[in-house]
Amino acid sequence: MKLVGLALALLFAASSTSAADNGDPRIWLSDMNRAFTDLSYDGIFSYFSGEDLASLRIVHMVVDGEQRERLVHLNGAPREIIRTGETVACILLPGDELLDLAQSIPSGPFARAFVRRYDQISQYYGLAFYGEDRVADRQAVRLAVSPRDDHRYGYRLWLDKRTRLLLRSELIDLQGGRLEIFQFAQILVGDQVDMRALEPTSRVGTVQDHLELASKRSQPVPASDMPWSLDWLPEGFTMAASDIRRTQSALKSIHTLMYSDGLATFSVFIEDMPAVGAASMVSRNGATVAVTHLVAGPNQAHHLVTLVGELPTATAQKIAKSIRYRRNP
Amino acid sequence: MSEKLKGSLSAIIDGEADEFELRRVLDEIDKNEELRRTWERYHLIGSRLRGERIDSPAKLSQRVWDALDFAAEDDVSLPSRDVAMREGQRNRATPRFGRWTGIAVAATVAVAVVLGFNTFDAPVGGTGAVVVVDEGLVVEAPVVELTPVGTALDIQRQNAWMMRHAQLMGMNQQGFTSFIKMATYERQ
Repeated sequence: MKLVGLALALLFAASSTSAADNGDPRIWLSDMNRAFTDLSYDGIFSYFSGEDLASLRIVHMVVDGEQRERLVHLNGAPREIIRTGETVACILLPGDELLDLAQSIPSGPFARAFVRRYDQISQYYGLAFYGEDRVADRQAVRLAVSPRDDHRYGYRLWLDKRTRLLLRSELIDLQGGRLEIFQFAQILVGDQVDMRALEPTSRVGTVQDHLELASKRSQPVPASDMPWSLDWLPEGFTMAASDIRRTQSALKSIHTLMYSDGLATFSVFIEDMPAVGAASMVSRNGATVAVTHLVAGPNQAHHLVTLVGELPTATAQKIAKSIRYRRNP
Repeated sequence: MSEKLKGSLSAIIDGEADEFELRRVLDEIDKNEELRRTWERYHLIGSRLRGERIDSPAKLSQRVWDALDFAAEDDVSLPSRDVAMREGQRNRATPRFGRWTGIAVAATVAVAVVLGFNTFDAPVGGTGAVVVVDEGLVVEAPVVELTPVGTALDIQRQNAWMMRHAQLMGMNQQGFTSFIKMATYERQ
């Protein structure tokens, strides 16, 4: 009995020592964030989502203080996403279905909404180191991010021991199943990265679709100006951004609301009811769920609400159904 | 026009037609001018017409066929999954809902006959398209609310919002991981 107690005490001491070795997991998450933006890296990774497996290449560098990034889809439709500072361009072949899709959404500058605050998430997620592993021939520290309720998903993260870059991640559903897996197969870090790798592949006939995305200049619409509100939100989610814009037709307005708990994020899009009607439906692609339903807006006119986020289906539906039009914003 | 076809047309308008009836009517619609006119009349009663151009009947019914064929593919009914499906159950054998279950499907097809399939963000009242807002039929809440089957248009709309969400995430979090969804997008 004494021996068991001693063994337990030793085990406890050992685990707390290893935790002390690694330090605060929140610091590791912040470091991971910084590694994404500050380091130079060039790697090939696999991405498994839902039922599809894709291979991609990412090249990232900071050139003259500006973030430059190139994401290349290595199988299927040839696509590259090039980020230069705040501008994001998609390089596609004509006929790419992504092009049609991109044109059917009202894109445009959207205020930089939020910065992930990893120091605040420990109220809603438990953070724990759980051993080491090897990914892309590099030593990684494993970190479990476990939700404290059923309204959000969990993550398993493999962080590079030396640079704290994310080498592998798994998005875990409520039953412990893996919804998405991301993993580097090979990665170069730091001085090994060649700046020429940022140049897009030149292909005959490619078209560029410029997505002027977030802009530091455009101001978010204050929450108090939004005529829509949510009656129910899982604990910890707060509004990160909101936006009102008119589509080119000027007959439709799109209201966008974004919420985050510091890790999970969802967007709510409210549009005028399309003339051709619409279906109430739920669809899922990997970890991303989309819920569409109707809500009465001004003058009892119907509006279409679509909530998209990395959330459990039941939670997404409950939130979507709680959206209300406020008479006096 | 045969009584049988007339009956089928009424059934479609009332949302009671089965797929067979719908297909039969569509089969006839480019051959049978009277049927097409009746169809249009049924739907245009009480609606407003802005702009005056209607595509050729042949083109229109081709679009409806395209829409039907698209909607009838198994894969397309997949996104409208069973709401009660448990998380993590990623089975391809998702139970399918009955097709053409509601008036809204008929309404969508009806409007498609006149409008053609535009993307949801097509300029309403803009150049080219004839706008038929059959308000009583299409916008009425219980009618629309009750369709569990998404049309090609509904699916595209949801996909577009998923893409927009990925874009917003991509710009609002550190790292490239959100753009992966854009780079790997494939039509469901």
